[in-house]
Amino acid sequence: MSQENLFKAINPVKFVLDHLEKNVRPDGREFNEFRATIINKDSISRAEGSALVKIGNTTVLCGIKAELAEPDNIDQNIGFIVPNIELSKLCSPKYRAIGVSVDSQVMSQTIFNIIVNSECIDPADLCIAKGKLVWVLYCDLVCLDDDGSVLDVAILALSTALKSLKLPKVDFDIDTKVIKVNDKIRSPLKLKCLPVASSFIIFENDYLLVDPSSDEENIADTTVTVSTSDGKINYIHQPGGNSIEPAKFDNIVRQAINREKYIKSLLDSI
Amino acid sequence: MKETILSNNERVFVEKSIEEVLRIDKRQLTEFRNLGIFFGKKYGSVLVSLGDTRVFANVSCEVNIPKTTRPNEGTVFINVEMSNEKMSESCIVTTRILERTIRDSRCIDLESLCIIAEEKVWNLRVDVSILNNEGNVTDCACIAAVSALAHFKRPDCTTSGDGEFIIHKSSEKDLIPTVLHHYPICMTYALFKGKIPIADPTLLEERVTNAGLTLGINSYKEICSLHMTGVSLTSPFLIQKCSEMAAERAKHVVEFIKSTLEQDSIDREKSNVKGFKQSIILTNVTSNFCDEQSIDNNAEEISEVASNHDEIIVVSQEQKFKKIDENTISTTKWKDENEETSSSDSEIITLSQSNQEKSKVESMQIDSSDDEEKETIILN
Amino acid sequence: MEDLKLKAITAEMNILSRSDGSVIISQGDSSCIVDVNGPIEVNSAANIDMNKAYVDVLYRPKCGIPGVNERYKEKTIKGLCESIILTTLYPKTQINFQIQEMDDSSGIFACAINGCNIGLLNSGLEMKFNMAAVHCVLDETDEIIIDPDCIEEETLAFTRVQKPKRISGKYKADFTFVFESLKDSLISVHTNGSFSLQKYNEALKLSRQACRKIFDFYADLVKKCSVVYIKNSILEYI
Repeated sequence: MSQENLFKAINPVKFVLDHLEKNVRPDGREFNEFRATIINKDSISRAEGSALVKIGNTTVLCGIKAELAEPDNIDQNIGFIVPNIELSKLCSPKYRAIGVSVDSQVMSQTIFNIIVNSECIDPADLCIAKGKLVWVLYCDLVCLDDDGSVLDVAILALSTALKSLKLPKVDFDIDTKVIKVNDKIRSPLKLKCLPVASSFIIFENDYLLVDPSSDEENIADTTVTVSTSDGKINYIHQPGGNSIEPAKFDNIVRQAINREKYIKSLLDSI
Repeated sequence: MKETILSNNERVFVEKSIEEVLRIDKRQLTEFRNLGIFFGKKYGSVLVSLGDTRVFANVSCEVNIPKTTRPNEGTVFINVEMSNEKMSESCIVTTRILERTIRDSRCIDLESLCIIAEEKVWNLRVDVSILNNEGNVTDCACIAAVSALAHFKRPDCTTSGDGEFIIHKSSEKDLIPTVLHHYPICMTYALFKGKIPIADPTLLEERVTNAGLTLGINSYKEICSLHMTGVSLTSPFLIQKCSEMAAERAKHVVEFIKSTLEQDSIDREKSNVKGFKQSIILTNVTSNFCDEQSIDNNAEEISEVASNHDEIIVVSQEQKFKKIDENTISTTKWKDENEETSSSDSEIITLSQSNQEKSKVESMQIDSSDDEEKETIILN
Repeated sequence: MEDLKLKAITAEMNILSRSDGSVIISQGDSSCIVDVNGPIEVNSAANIDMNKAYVDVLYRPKCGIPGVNERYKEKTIKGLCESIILTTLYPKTQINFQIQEMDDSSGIFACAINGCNIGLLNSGLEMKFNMAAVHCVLDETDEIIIDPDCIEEETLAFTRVQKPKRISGKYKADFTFVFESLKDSLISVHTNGSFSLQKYNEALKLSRQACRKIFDFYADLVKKCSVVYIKNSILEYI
């Protein structure tokens, strides 16, 4: 073990803090610097929409499978979106090896909340015949590597996959109830906007770091995730920690909006 | 719920006192504890207390496909949950007794739950949650389930010829109450020495004698279910005697449920629904009430914590390592950092706001001015 | 701007005879029962930190079995409780929370958090500080309402809809803020719907005013029964 790794293992807090004092993060980034973003669209040919997103080492694969189903009895003209993220021992030792972990359930719920709140998809667009037939979008996300800020990457992967989603044309005869799926004619889903999430951590009430790695996440006082779409905030999550003063919070939101603009231009270019 | 150990002394004491026709809580052998029924703000939820035993029950409904064997009937599902224990034995026993007493006695008019035969029916779900077990959970759960069903109202729905149907909101059409033919109530008797039945046993009494008799009986003296637990020699005469006592008691309980329901509907008409608040006894020292308080909108902002944060260290759940050296913290120039980013940010914002439909050149500018992301690789 | 009001709060402690701390709390349209047990033996074999108490939260919805949405609430409440209990005082033990939702409107989450705090006060577990949760919404005219009336779609109230409830058209967004008692600083935020930063700050400012009232309520509650406890202990002493 090298000297550096030894120090990191013995005193992880001091290891990070010593770096921060020199105005640099352990991985050589600036405080407000995101890691390199790699987006790969249509990674899975069998899925209706898919994406592989990598921010730094954190990797999330998303595949959307569209299925036909009967709608809910109360809201008869809306379809469903079912996001589900898998956080297994594969991506980080902090997760359980078998079974559905609480972490993945909570994150699936968070992803759903963000998608619903941002109103990026009108669920009525997923309706084929009112009260009879709607689309169900099963968005399966698999985290391949967790090196911090999984939620940001998951949201980006889902957004990209939704953008690449092409639904086949469905003809539904109300009288005979015959469903004809035409795989050749496919049309993309109408998206009003795309939510982009950014995570921030605060150390010792002084250092504000964007896009934390898992080492930084583990020792943070306060974690904040802000999701924006078209400059509007649609999700703020602070699971505990210290209070953030308004000036600092303004800064967080500004950086989140900035990030969203950048991601948007990135997505538009592919 | 904690299990406490039952000592031999307690056991002997209870047994002896029962022989002398005495009970620890000063009740008569056939006397029941005080019953309290409190309905919630919404239809179908109820909190029932029997002495210190407390049970919460809630009824919900859902439209579903009927069973193929009974295409024109709705269904009733009963689920009992005990605190902490997941699917314990007593939980299954209680569920089964409730199913036999309520569902199998056919007290609910299931045919009225049908919307379109063979296609759509209402499914009722009764969730019974046992909050506190101070003995005789079965009776309490049964009263809760029955009164929740009696209180429940489902939304109305209309069907058109071609199988379409609409569920109405309560503002459009009045809600429909559930039709109950009769109110079956469970009555539990603990049997001491196989011959002395005591009504409504407490947890201590239940544990001293394992033998018990639970009768499901309605106000018309009809027995709907009979359940015996434990090892005890009983005579037909004893069951006869118990069922007579139970019938008497059931009449009172049903009357009580009906009068509480009536009171509730009167309150609702006056739109004076108290909800579960009414179960709180404000004269108790452990309770408190504070009325609506207005908030001063123009009050000065309470100063934020920023300066001396070391007093409060709220450790988030994810934090795995403890802070080791408080003294090593040195404050860096956070502000400089802040100003730098803010100035560059505002530039970008104005740029993009000026023309909504930005050309590619401008979007490229945004990219280049944004030095946050240095390297970006786009595949595909 | 209309008068901003924090809804009436009613609570009673010690309502469950078998638990270490229990409370029934009713706040506006929401009410729940919280039951706290601990410190007790750890029965989970999972890899947990033995240096401090393990907090377990069970959130029971009004109807149906707990789903993903309940897990989300459980995890949040667990995180909050871990930060307010002096967990290092109870190593190798477990503290159980059980929350039974009774009347659910959108403010139930804040109500449950406040209930947990009173339950802890009742249980006698050592705490670092108190917490108070305030729920508020942003309506269509961009006005902030604290503790609104039931905002759910009425039909949804009858059925168990496992998917998260969409906010009805009347309200744009809703916020739940959790504050601690030492300096009224914010320790947790949960939001729904989209909103601007300015409105967020406004809501935060109002909620901070409201949380004081909840802390006063806690104080009154404890004061009321402690008088009797002190009296009794003096009598015993004599």
